[in-house]
Amino acid sequence: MIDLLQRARFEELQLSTRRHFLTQCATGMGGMALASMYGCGSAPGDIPLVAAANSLQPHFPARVKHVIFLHMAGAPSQLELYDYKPELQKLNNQPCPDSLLEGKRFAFIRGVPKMLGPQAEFAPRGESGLSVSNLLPHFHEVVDKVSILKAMYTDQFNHAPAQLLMHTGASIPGRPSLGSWVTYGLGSENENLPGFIVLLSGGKQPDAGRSVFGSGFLPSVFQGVQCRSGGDPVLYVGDPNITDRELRRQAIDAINDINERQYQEVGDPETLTRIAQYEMAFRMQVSVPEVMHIADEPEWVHAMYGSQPGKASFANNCLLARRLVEKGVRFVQLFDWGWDSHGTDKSTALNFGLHDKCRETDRPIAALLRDLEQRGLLDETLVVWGAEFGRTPMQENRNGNENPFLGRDHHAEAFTTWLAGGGVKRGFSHGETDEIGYAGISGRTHVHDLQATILHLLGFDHEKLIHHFQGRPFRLTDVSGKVIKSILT
Amino acid sequence: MPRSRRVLIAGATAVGLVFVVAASAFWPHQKKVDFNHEVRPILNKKCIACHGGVRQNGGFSVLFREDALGKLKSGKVGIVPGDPNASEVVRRITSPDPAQRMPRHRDPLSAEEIETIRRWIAQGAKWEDHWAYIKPVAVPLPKVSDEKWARNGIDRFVLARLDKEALAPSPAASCDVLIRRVSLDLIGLPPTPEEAGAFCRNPSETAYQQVVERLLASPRYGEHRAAMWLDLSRYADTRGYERDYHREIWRYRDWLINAFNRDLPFDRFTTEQVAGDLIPGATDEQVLATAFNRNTMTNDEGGTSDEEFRTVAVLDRVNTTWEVFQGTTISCVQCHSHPYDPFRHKEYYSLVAFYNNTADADWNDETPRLPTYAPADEARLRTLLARLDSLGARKDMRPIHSLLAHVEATLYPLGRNAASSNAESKNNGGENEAVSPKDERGSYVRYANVDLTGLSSMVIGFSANTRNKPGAVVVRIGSTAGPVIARAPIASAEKHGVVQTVRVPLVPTSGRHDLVFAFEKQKKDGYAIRWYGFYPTTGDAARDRQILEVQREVAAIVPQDETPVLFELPQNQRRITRRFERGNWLVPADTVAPATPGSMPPMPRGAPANRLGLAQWLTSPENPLTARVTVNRFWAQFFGTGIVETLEDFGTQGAAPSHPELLDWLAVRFMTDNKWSIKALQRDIVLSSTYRQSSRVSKALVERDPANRLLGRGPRVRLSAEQVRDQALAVSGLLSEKMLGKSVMPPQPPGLWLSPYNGQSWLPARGEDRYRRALYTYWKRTAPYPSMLTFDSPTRELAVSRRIRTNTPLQALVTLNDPVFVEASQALARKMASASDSLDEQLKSGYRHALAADPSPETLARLRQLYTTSAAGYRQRPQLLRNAVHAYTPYDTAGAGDRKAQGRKYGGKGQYAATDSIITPAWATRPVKDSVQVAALTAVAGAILNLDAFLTKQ
Repeated sequence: MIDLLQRARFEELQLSTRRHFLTQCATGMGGMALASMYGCGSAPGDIPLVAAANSLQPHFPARVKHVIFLHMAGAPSQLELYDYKPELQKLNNQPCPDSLLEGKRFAFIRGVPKMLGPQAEFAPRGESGLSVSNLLPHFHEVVDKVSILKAMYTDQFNHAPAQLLMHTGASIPGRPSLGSWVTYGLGSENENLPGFIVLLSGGKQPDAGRSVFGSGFLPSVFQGVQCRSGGDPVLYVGDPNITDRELRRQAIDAINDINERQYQEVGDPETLTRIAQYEMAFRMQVSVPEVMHIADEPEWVHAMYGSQPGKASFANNCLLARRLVEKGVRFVQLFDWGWDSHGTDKSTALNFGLHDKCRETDRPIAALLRDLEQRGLLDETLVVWGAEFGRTPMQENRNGNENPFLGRDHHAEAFTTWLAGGGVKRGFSHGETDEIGYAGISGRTHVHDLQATILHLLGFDHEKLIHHFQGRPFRLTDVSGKVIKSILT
Repeated sequence: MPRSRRVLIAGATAVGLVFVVAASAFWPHQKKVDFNHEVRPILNKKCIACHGGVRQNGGFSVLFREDALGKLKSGKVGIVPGDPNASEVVRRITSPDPAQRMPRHRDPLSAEEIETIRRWIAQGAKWEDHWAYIKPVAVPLPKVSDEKWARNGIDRFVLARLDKEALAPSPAASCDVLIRRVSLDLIGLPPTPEEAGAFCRNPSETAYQQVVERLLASPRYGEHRAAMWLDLSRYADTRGYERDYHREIWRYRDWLINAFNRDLPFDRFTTEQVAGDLIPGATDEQVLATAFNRNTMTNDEGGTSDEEFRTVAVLDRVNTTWEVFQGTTISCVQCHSHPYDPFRHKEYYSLVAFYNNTADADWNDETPRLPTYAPADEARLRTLLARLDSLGARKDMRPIHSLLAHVEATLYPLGRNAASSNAESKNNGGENEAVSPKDERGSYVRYANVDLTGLSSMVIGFSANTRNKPGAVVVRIGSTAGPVIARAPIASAEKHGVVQTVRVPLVPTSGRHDLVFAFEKQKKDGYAIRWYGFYPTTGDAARDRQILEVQREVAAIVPQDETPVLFELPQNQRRITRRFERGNWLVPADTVAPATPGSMPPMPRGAPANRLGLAQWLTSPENPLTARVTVNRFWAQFFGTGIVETLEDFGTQGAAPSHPELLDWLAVRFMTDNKWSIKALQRDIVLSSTYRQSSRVSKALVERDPANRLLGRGPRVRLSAEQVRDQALAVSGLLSEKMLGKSVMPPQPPGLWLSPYNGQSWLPARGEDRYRRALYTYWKRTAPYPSMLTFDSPTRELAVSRRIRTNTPLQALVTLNDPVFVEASQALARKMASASDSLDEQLKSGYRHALAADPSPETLARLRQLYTTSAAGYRQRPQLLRNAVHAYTPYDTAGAGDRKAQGRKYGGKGQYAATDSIITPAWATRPVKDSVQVAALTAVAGAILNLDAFLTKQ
């Protein structure tokens, strides 16, 4: 089977419609990744393909092989979690000075809002002494594993455009997402699983929808594949109730035999690829449900994550992320919805809803870092925690009126992100905001810088990972982005 | 230039010397350098990255001649026409000093390249436009080796090229392959076994022509053609971004289908979509066509700036127009001059100016909208409009030819950045709305310098929170304490954020005044004025009152649905268009007027400086791109690849045409002989011998021409996402022939719609709407129908010219396991079972339905083997056997509880009731005689529907 697949791939790469794709791609990596995205991988024996692959290495040695990106959709308040501002407490309930409002645009704040002090207790945690709030007790125990970026900023202050910027490098839909670029560049390590898998929790998709894990103008094979906790884990991966594995095997054998004859007769290399893909589909039907079946994890693992088989939860998704990375999946993207702490109702209140979200995520995130570490996977995996933007030091006053609960508006000028894993300093903090947490004053890092850093850790120069489309080269970081060197080991 | 020097150069190498001696007739310096063929490739490859539109290192750029001849930062001159020695460029490309030599840090130019540039400068450094910017001219047909093979012009160009390569065309495809190919290409569906049988019994030239004419006349033709245009027009049934609400714009899809079916000539097809509303005496249909550009996204996320996303939509309209009609990527010029093609930064904003004056502005209600009425209502409406006529209401104040929004004739959008910038709103942050006052700092909106002469009534569009108590908006002149000229009572809103209108008489006032809008008796926040407009007086107060009454009656007639369209702002409310510094809308720079780029032909004489003029320019015979780009687009639909492979980019960085003369011949013929008829163009294509070749290919030919760019064989490509679905439904007899109408929701797995703050859900269709053609499937941008994406369709957020075809295991999972395909295999199995009592005949019948041909003996034997093993398997599996003879419809219960609650939100009033039971499909109600036989035939049918030959047009 591998022989046939490789033959197909090779012929396809050399000859077929992908020729243009290959020659167009400056680095040629896309072609290589396309070959290894599904199937063939790095199986030895087929010299031409291996040679082609070897000649298209990343730009420099990678520090990590996998990425797990934990996106808290809605944007948690950095001022209640990681960025401690005692000065802000002193200004609590004071009217916001004009200097912070002049020429600024906010999503909901109108007129003159009041300043709002931190709604959580802070203390130094771990050996590193990094300051973390009391809302994240489990995180205190893993704080020495992470590098915190406290002066992140972005260009967008609405959810959908800001999420798009974070994941595709542009605020308008249509560009490939981070996971697509990564699998485009590196392919997958497991031929029986998609290389880019997306897991959702919180009951909603991220505000920008599928566009944040779409492949844009890259071939659809690089799309993020959503794995779900209800129904088919991957769409249509389950056999319909009129067949079973054995009957299905017989049918695929017949399909492939007839297709093989078709190839002899017509000579189109695409036919060979199709044969290989039917084999792969048959295997995926087993491998996907297997990896998604978390019930086979021991009790202590569930206790550590707080996961419960059969439920849709962020905890389950963290556990799945570890399982997927273990199986060689390149990029695992989690979105957890429900962090939009405006204070318009209880679920979005800093003193209610935010507490619930912290409780749901704190234990599983700490468990994920520890679990990866104890399995030796943290060195080859990059875990990123963050959101699309941060929240204002002012209390939100929607359209000039007081909100019923304590909340903060969207804020593009300062938010917190952390990274952990191979190549990243441990127990380290980079960047600082001013005394009220309004804007970064040192070590400011833009969304494009974060993207450049993630690609860097995977072995790519973000300025060279490009794809030509509509007559111009495109890259994830658009025309900017600098690797955040200070957090690298 | 001294002659001796030239000899020296030519004689510098032995080869050159030989050349000089042996071919003095072609003395190098006398041979005219061809800029496009010889010089431009060198500039594009070696120079333009650092000396183009973006980087102009040293002040030197080779994008435009005038820039290349200009003074450099160093004070020297890069290119001095006629004098290579005085040209800095020549010095730098020949410099022995690595620090001086260009291209820096790269390999030097070859001696030959240097000589070409030298000669070109010596001959005057003449610039020539890139081929695509030179108007195509009629090309004489070339001589070919086989006159008989060449049926038409296409064949002559193709064969001439094959002759040059010493290749022969492939033999003609067999009759069954050909009829399947031409059916799939023209109507998107395969032929029935009867159609294929009839053609194969008499595969004459006349019979083929009859098949082609039948297909071109089929109503299915327009459906298939529209599918491609939906990608280009970024059509979707939702608005995109966070909330991704429903959008009622399916009538545009129907407009497309009808336009293709009636073969609307492409010049008019273009004009109506770009500027249908501006055509004098425009019909409703023509206005509807402008919905093409209302397929831009609307951002309904809370807290977003309408002006920001209005700007995004306007820029997208420019980019889409240029990609679709000009095959040009203009979007990079938004931030800076084009890096490779001759478009300057400022020219982009001159193009924006064409589009910047439509009334829409990212509002939640998507106004302006074209209403469609029930026939009785429309008749009544026309009567009322006639009465307005007889009362002497001014005609420009209401629609005459079109029913377009009666209130929108004089729309004045509110906001700092909107309209003519004469509005101010006192409210940090809120740019486009006045909100009700809470205290003395409360907001108002002031509109400066509005001419109130001769106006009798006004209309105000406002939105409100549902929890508000009724109140009023008051319009004063001068200041917040000025005299009141209108007072509009406003009720609390039915729906949060939805714009409602109120119409009130106006205190007669003359002259120009500042208008101040403020709220009265509003404790709570949540009112926002969106726009206002005026109706003029007839000069007779009694008559004005009558007119107002009739207008109220008009407004009371509720349309069936309303489609967002383009609507030009009135002359006195035009927006000023400015260039954005580095493409940033918050940094507006100098003012620009509508204009087409200087490097292209001028606008036709007398063309207005608006979208209509733009359309006239696009469809002018002088425009070098429109016809080429269009014939190329349609060509790619038939051959899988364009003559220019990059359908979306005809610029210098796009692919070169494989058959440039053929492209020009087709383009000229399209504009002249074919009078822009798309059907005539496609008739030429499918009647050619080139198209009719077999797609079988030898190993040698695959190696020689892997992508079939020489067209020495017929096309062979995987079917499109739409075709994959439609074909399975068609061959199994499930396909509904119902045309047009609201988009439908065939069953899909539950849990895919998860948009925040949206509340809408997928309600699986009942009855034949389950089996409609794919292009009628409801398209939600943030969660499109899954199998479409798996088979490479774009998500329709931006225009896409070319789908990249992939071949993945996820596709296999769709055609093996998606219930639509499972049900198709079940239905096909029933047809096979009833075809004959003989197993072989049953198997053949299934194959014939699918592929319009008989299976080879080997294939038949393999299918028979599958039947036998499957039958044995089902005998041992009673549960699977029972399942196999019942319709497989696992998603039908999805959303049942939501039906009633949600039905309204889609405009699907009363379409579904919560009590709707799951209906057994008609095919499954017929009794089954032998269930093992049907189950085993289902397995065989499923295999047939997954064959490479079935999924491929060959």
